[in-house]
Amino acid sequence: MTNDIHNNDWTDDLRRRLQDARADVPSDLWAAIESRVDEAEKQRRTHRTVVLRWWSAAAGVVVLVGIAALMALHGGGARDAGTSSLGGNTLASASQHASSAAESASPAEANALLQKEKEAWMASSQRGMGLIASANVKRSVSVLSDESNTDVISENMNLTSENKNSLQSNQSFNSENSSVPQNTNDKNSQQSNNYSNSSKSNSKSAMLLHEEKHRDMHSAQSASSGWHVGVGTSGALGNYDQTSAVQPVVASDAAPNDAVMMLRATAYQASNYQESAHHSMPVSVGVSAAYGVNKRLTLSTGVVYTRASSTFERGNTRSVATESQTLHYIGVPVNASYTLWGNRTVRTYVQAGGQADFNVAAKVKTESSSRNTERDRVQFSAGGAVGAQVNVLPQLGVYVEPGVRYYFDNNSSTQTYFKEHPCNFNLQIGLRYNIK
Amino acid sequence: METEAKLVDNVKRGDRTAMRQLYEQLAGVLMAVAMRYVPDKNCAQDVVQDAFVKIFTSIGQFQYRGKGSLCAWATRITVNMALDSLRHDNALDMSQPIPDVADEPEPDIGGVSDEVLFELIGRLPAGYRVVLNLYVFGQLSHKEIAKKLGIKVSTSASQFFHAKKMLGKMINEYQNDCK
Repeated sequence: MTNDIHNNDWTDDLRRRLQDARADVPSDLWAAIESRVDEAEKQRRTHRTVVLRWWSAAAGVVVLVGIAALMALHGGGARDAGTSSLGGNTLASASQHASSAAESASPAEANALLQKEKEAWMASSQRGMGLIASANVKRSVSVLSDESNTDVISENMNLTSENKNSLQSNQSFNSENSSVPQNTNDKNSQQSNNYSNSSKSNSKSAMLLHEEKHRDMHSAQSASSGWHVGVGTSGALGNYDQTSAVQPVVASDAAPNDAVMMLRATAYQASNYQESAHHSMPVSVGVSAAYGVNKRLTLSTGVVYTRASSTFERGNTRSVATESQTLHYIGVPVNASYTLWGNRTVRTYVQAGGQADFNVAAKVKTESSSRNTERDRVQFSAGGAVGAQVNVLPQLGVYVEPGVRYYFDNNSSTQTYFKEHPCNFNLQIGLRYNIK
Repeated sequence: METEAKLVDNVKRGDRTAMRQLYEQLAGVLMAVAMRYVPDKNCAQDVVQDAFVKIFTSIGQFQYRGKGSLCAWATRITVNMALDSLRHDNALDMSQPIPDVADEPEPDIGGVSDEVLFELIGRLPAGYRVVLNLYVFGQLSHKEIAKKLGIKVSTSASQFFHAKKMLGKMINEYQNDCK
């Protein structure tokens, strides 16, 4: 009978009688079991080592690819950013930056062109025309904001009013000009000093814009060559602290644009404001609590303290003021991590998650004072990391997480490292409390 | 039970003392289960050994769900090991024709000791024995048994029917012999 109902018959009694029965086991059974378990454990460890090596290699490759990608990304931008934000350099060293670039122009050529330009200038200065200077745009131009685009150009133009004043100084320059090779570099550096500007990251578009303008002016010039020696107008506008070389100015034929530019330049001359910023890489320290969802998956959250400091140099041709900004963030991360390999003491994992950082304090310090400034808005970020954790106690571990983070622009007015380098590395170390 | 849950956790962590404790707790029960399927003592011991090794190596996948869950899980593992053992010995052959047995009155197992019942079950042909164990003790349906053993549902049902008949007869005969 195909009767699936377990009848309440004697077989039920049979079950009730025997289901909890116990039988004797030989005394050596445990030893046999234990040794087999040991062997199985050893095999598993060997297997895990192999798996771990594979995963580590894979993770290492991923991280290296990430580094390479970011370097490529930054490498392109950093050159711009570096010169724009001066990559931590002062204005003086930025000049070195540019000067080395300008050095690529052979001194002999520079000399020759300069002589030509000098003569042309002498001629045109009589007409009181504005002058256009052009730089070796390809190398030494740094980040410009869109507006300052024309400003830069006008900066390099010898502004009309100043022009007349500078006749004297420029004439004196002519005699100095005999030793061209060295000065060329200085001039170029001066040039780039004029250029070095803001920390806004419109670098590429601004540069293109500048190049276009440059080309426009270039066509307006009668004498055209593949490159132009960068020349500045510091002589006309006053001396920088760093160098005192007076700059010659390059003449150009009168072109319709010049007049407009000159007018703008006049207005601009009054401010001649420049700004550079250097953002140091933020440092984070955190504590977190981790909850093990299963053997491999862990969710964690915690508190992260991040300190982001930046240095700004603002000023005009006469003086530059340095200001350092320190932002203190308290952030709440939420992460999920997958254990690649781990035992009770050590765990290696890959992790992904997001974080919200709240700027709890913002201080600005100048040479003379220190004050609180407007705080930044909430900074959201997302990232992935590879991590290693060592449990000094069963419940407490020390972790190290190098990773990649992307910081979402929070559209605030605060200038931060996160805006400058939205996608970058970070290294977080901290303590983790293991809940389960 | 909380202590049992704790024990499981410790075993999961690889605590040898916990493992020994678990063994002591379950060894007798699992041995009895094994012997119902594989009456030969030596073979049954092998089955139990295999079962424990499997238990300790796969404890990570076990989720403690209250009293009895651990024992049920361990028993399932043991049954599977026993079946593997029988398959290995080609004992699970259910294709042989079954001799027709006359109807028997239902046995009264009250007067028979556990050991004898055990032994009588062990005397059943392998096919009968397995199906009977799975149906009565494992509480599986014929459909489930059929799936587990790779046989037809009708085969499972008929095997059980005949197993029950035969066992009943053996019990009756034993009691008659004892009188």
